[in-house]
Amino acid sequence: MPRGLASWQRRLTLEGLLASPLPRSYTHFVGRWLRTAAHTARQLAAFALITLGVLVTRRAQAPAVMRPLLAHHIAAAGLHLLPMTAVLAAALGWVVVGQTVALLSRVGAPEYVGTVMVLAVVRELGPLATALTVLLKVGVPTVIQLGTARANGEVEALEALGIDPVHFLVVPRVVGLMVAAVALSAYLILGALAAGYLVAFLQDVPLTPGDYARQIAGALTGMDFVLLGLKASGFGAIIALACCFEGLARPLTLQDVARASTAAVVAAVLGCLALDAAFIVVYLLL
Amino acid sequence: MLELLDCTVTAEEEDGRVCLRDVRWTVAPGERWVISGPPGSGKTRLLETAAGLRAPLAGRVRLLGRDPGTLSAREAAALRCQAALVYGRGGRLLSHLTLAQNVALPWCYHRNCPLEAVAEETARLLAAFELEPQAARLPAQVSPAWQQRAALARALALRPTVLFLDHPLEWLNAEHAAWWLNFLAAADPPWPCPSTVIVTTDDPHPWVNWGRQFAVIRDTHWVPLPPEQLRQSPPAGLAAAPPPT
Repeated sequence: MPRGLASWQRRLTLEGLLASPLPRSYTHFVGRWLRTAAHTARQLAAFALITLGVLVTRRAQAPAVMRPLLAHHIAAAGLHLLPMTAVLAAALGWVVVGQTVALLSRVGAPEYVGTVMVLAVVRELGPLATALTVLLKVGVPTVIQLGTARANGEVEALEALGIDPVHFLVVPRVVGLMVAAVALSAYLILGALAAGYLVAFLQDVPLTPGDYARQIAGALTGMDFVLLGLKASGFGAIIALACCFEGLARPLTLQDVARASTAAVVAAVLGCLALDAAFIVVYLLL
Repeated sequence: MLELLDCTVTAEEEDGRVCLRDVRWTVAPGERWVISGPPGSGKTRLLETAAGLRAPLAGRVRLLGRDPGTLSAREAAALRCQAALVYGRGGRLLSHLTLAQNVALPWCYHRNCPLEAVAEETARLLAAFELEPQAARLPAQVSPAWQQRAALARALALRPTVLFLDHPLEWLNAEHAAWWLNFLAAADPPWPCPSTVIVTTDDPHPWVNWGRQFAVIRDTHWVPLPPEQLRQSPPAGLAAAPPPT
């Protein structure tokens, strides 16, 4: 057998593949991606600090203008998403909660219903599902609106009027989304738990509403409420900051707005997952 | 009023291309400057630099006796209220606000009051600029000429000391262009207008009767231009603007 062919055959085995070095193009691709991700994360952190600085130093500036703006963004990100959240809560209740309750009752472990519900719905699925809804229904339009304003030069015109664009455009969105995310998370969790019990009831699960509520209440601790609020508001802040950053922080043309929207979604999803991972560590430590 | 000392101005924030070098320019109170140059020669950037919105790459800017680069955010905002800049091509109004809301925004923000509190003043301002029929419309629902007029009203709402106009006659028909020239030249305009005005334009000839000082940007250099030179040689085919009344 020719030597070259034998060498190729050796490489094509699983061990050979694992032992062979990664193609340089692949390592370059991953390296570039990681470098870009780190650069974006650093810029996003700087943007978050600037926003925080403006929020603190200009908290008393123009409240007559800023309060209605804040109310508008809370309504847009919270109130207007209630129907969509209700549908999502029903789906979550149907798919996850109802089946889990039915299964636990069938295997004779109904006493774990509360613990499982708190673990799955209150701590994880509720805030994450809310974050995804807010990102898609509010975050993406935010990037498009701000990106278009940036591309059309409206931001420079605001600066020329002595109005800080971060104060006027970013701060109300960040605060509004944080408040709305907490409220929507609570709404979605309550809806999912109620819908889940309805599904279990339709499956003739021998669990009274009182027992169901008592088990969930027994599994909940005060820290769960605190962490739920922190997590949901953190998701809201990450989504708002990622969307405002991609829409505003860099010079854009109208052609760049679509790319900025995709970049904002990726940054927000990765940011939310990283925060979620950090909260899992906190839950494990408690 | 305004002083640029050996300023170098770049084209875009990121590419760093120099479009103007060593600008030495002094504007005294009451002067009317017309700065011309080919498209892309850096007129808008120069105006933004002079208005304190952009820092020059090199050199120093003094606007109303202060260096904008050394001011705190609050002081810079106060300075910008004194030095109004109106962009061309529709004035860059906020697209989600109506014309009336756009015009009232500086008042509401800087005086910390709701829109209703300045409703009367806004109505007077809109009337002065003949904008009442368009007041409730969004910028996208009116022509760029009306948008630009609303941008002028918005800039003059705070009664600035100096006015920077970036290509104000671009995209305007003869009627709107005549309104602008008349407004800027009027001894008693329907709304107070500062006496110090700086205009950038691709074509200086419509401004010959209005301007008192002229300059041109030629090959990245700032060249003062005697008004007589412009008055004696209007370009062929260019309709001269009506003399201001």
